[in-house]
Amino acid sequence: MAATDIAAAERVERLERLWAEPHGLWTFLTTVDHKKIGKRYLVTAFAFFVLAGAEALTMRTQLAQPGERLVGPKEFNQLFSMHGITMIFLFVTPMLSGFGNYFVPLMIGARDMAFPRMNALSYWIFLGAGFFMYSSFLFQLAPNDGWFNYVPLSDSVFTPERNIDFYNLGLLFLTISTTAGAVNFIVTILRMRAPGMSINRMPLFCWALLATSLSVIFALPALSAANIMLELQRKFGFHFFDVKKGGDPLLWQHLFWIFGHPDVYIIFLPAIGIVSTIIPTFSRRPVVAYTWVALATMSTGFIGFGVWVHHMFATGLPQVTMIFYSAASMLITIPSGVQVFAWTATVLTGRPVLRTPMLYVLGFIVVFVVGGVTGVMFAAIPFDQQVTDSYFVVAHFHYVLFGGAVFPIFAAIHYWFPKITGRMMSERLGVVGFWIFFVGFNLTFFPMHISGLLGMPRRVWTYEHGLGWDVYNLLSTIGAFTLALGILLVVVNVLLSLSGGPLAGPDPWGANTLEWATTSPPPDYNFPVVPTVRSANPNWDPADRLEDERRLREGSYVLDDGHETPATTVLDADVDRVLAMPSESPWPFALALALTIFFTLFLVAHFVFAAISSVLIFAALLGWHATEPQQS
Amino acid sequence: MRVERANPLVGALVWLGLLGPPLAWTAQLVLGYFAEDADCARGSGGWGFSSHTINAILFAAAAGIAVAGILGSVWVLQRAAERPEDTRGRIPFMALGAVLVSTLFGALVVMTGIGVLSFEACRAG
Amino acid sequence: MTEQAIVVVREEPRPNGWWGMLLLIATEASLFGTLIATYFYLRFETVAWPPDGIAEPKLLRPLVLTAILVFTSVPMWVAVQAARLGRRGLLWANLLAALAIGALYLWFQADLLRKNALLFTPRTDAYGSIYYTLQVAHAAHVFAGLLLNAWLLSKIWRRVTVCRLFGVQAVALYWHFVNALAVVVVLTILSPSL
Repeated sequence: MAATDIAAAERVERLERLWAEPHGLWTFLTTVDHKKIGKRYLVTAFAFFVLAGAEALTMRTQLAQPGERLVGPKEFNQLFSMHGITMIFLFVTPMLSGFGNYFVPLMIGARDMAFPRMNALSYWIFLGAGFFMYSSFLFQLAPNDGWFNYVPLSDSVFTPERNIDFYNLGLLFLTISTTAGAVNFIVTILRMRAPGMSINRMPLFCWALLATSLSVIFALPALSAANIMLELQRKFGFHFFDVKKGGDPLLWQHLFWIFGHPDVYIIFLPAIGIVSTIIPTFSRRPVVAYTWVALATMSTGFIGFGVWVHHMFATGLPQVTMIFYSAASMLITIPSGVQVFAWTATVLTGRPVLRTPMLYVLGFIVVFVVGGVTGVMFAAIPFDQQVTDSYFVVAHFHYVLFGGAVFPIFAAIHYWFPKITGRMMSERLGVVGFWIFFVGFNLTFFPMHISGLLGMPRRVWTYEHGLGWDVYNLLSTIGAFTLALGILLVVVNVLLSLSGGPLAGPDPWGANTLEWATTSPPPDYNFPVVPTVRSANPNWDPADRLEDERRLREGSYVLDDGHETPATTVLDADVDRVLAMPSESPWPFALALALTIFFTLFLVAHFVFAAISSVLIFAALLGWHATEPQQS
Repeated sequence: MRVERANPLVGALVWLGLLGPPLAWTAQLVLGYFAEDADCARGSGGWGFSSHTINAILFAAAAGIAVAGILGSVWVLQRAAERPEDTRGRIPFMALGAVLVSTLFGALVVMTGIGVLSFEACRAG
Repeated sequence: MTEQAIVVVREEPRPNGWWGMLLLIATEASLFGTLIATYFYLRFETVAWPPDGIAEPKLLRPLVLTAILVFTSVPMWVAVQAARLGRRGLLWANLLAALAIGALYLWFQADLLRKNALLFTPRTDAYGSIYYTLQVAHAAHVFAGLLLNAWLLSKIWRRVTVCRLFGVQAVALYWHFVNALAVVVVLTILSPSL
C-alpha cells in the first residue's frame, strides 16, 4: 500500500514539473494555460463592462430630466454606439468565452484546450481589438451610428470622419479572435472529452458553448462581409449600398442582421448553459429532461439564423418575405420555453438551496420570462411596426440581454469564484448585492416599456418637457444608479474575498460536474489522472472518483511521460490517441501585435505600409509553425 | 456500444431525424425567399415563374422530410427500448433528440408553409 | 452489462488540425455564401444585369481555366496518399505539380481581370463592385492555398513526420474546398450569360 502511495506521489510530482510554467513577464506573454487565459478574459471583459456601464450612466444622467445639457448630441451618439458595441462585442461574448476557457477543459476532464496557442492568440487579439476601438475616444472619433451602423448614415457622405472606420476595422479584427475561439471550443468539446463522456453525458454548459460556437462560425462571416463592403465603399469608392449606382442600403440591414440575430443567441446560449449548470447543483438533483434541454439549446441556435428579418419588419418588404421570419420568430420561443419549464421543474422537484448564485439564477428566470413575453409580441408584425424604434424595444432587449446574459454571468462569478481562487465570497454581502442589483435592474428598464408605448423614440439625446415621459425617465435614471451600486457591491465582495475569504476546498457546493473533482484552484495539469465518466453527473458518482485515485496509484492513464492529454472519439468518447500538447510560445502575442500594426496602418490609410506590415504577420505565422510537438 | 456499426440503418435514421428536418426548413426558407425575391424584385420581373408554385413544392418536400424524420426516429427509439444493447444510452438519447428536433422543425415547416401560401405574392407589407 | 471505464479504439482518427481546418472552411464557405447572396440580391434589384454599357461575361476562357484549377485536386489527393505511405518523392512531386498549375491559373486569372478593368471597374457601379470583390476574394483564397502548399514543400524537404502528415491532410482539405468554391464562383459570375 505504502509503495503505491509513494509511486502516486512521484507521478504527481512529475506532472507538476512537466506542466509548471516559470513566473515572470516572459511567461505572462507566452503562457498557453487555458486557466490563465480564461482569467485574463474575465478580468479584461469586466473592465470593458465597467467602461460601458460608465457610458450608460452618463446617458441616463443626460436623460434624467428634459432639456439636460450634460453632453451634446454628437457625444451622445458616440456614447450609445460604444455602449452597445462594448457590451455585445467586448463584454458579454468575451466574458462568456472566459468562463468557457477556464471551465470547458475542466468540465470535460481535459488538461487544456485543443489548440492552446490559438487560445492565447484569441485573447491577445481581443485585447488588441478592444484597445483599437477604444483609442477612437482619444480623437473624439468613436463610432457614432449605433452598434448596427446603418447605411447611408454610416457611408462617407454622411460620416466622412474615421468613426466608422474604427467600427469596420475594429470588428473585422475582433472577428479573427472570436472565430478562432469558436473553432477551439468546438474541437475541444468534440475531441477532448474524458473517456466515457459520450454526448449524452456532456455537461449542458458544453452543449451551450457548442451551439454558440457553431453560430459564431456561420454568422460572423456575414458581419465581416458587410464590414468589408462598407469599408470598400468608404475608402475605395465601391457602390454596394449606393442607390444611384445600383446598390441598395437595405443590403446592409440584411447582412448585419443575418449576423445580428444569431449573435443574440451567441450572447444568450452560454448564459443559459450557466443556468443549466447552477440549477442542478443548488436543487440537489440532476436537471429534469436533460435530452430536451440539450436539443432545445442546439435548436435555438439553429432557428436563430432564420429570424433576422424581424429586425426589418418596418422597412417595406413584401408580406410573404416577412411571413417566413414571423413564423420562425414565433416558433423559436418553444425551445426557450422548454428550457424554462425544465429549470422550473428541477427547482420544484429538488431541495433548493438559496445561495447567492441560485438567487441570480432565479432572478434570471423572472426577468427572462418578461423579456421573452415582449419578444413574442414583436413576432406579430403589426405590433412590431407600431413600437419599432421606440423605448419599448430598448426595454425588451435589455430584459433579454441584461436579464438573459448578465444575471447568469453574475451567478457564474459567485458560483465559480471558489474554484478559480480557492476562497469563498461573503454570502451576506452577496445576498444584499443581489437584491440591490435586482431592484435596480427592474427600476431602470421596466419604466422604458411605458415611455416607449408613450412614444419616446430610441437614441434621442434629449427631449422636451410635457410629453409625459419625465417621470419614467427619472425612475430609469434612479434605477441605473441603484443597479450600479449593486454591481459595486459585487466588485467589493470579490476584492475582499480574494485574500480574506474562507478556504473553499475542492467542492464547496456539492456540485455534479468534473471541475469540482480537482483542487481549488486546479493544478497546472488540471487532474492528476485522466478522469473517467459513467453518467451525466460525474462528480456525484463516488465510485468513479475512487477509481480515479486507484488508477493514480497504479499509474493507469496518468500520462506523466510528457505534456499529454487523451483525445477521444466524437460521439462515444472512446480513447483513440494521446496528444502531445504545445507549451509556452511567444508567437501568439507576436502575431496579435503584427495584426494590430496592420489594422492601425490600414485605419490611417497608409495602404502601402499596411501591405508591408503584412510581412510581419507572415513572419509570425512562420515562426509559430517552425516548431512542432513531438508526436509519439 | 457501437450500435451504429452493428446496424447502419439505426445510425442513418437517427441522423436523418436530427439533420433532415432542420436542413429541409433551411432549404424552404432560403430557396423560398430567393424565389420570392426573384419573382417580385424589379430587376427580374420578366422571368415568368410563380413563386407561389415553388413555395408549395418546397413546402411539400420539406414536410415530407420532417415526417420521415419523425417516423424513423420514433422507430429507433422504440427499438432501443426493447433491445437495450447500448450501455451508455447514447442511441436512445440521439433518437429522442431526433424525435424532438424533427417535431419542432416539422411544426416550423408547416407554419411557414401555411403562412406563405395564404398571402398574395409580391404584395408590399 | 456493466460498462468498461476506458475503451481504446484502434482506428486511425482524424487529427485535431483536420477538424480545425474543417471549421475554418465552414466559416469561409459562409463568407462566400454571403458574397454570392449579395450578388443575386443586387442583381434582382437592377433592371439590366450587367448594367448598360457592360458586356455580358464571355464563357469559354473562365470555364477552361476553372476546369484546369479543379484538376489540381488530383495531384493533391495523390499527395495525401503518398504522405500516408511515407513516399516522400511522390509527395513532393505532386505538391509541386499542384502548386505550379495553381500558380499558372492565378496568372491567367489576373490577366483576365486586368483586361476587364479596361472596360469597367469596381467604381463603375454595384455590378462592378460585387464582380471584382467576388473575383478577388476567390483569387486570394487560391493564393493562400499556394502559400500553404509552398510552406509544406519547404517543411517536407528533409523528412515527413506525423505532424507534417497532418499538415498535408489539412492543406489538402483546404485545397479541395477552394477548388469547389471556384466552380460556384465562376458559375455565379457567368450566370448572366448562361
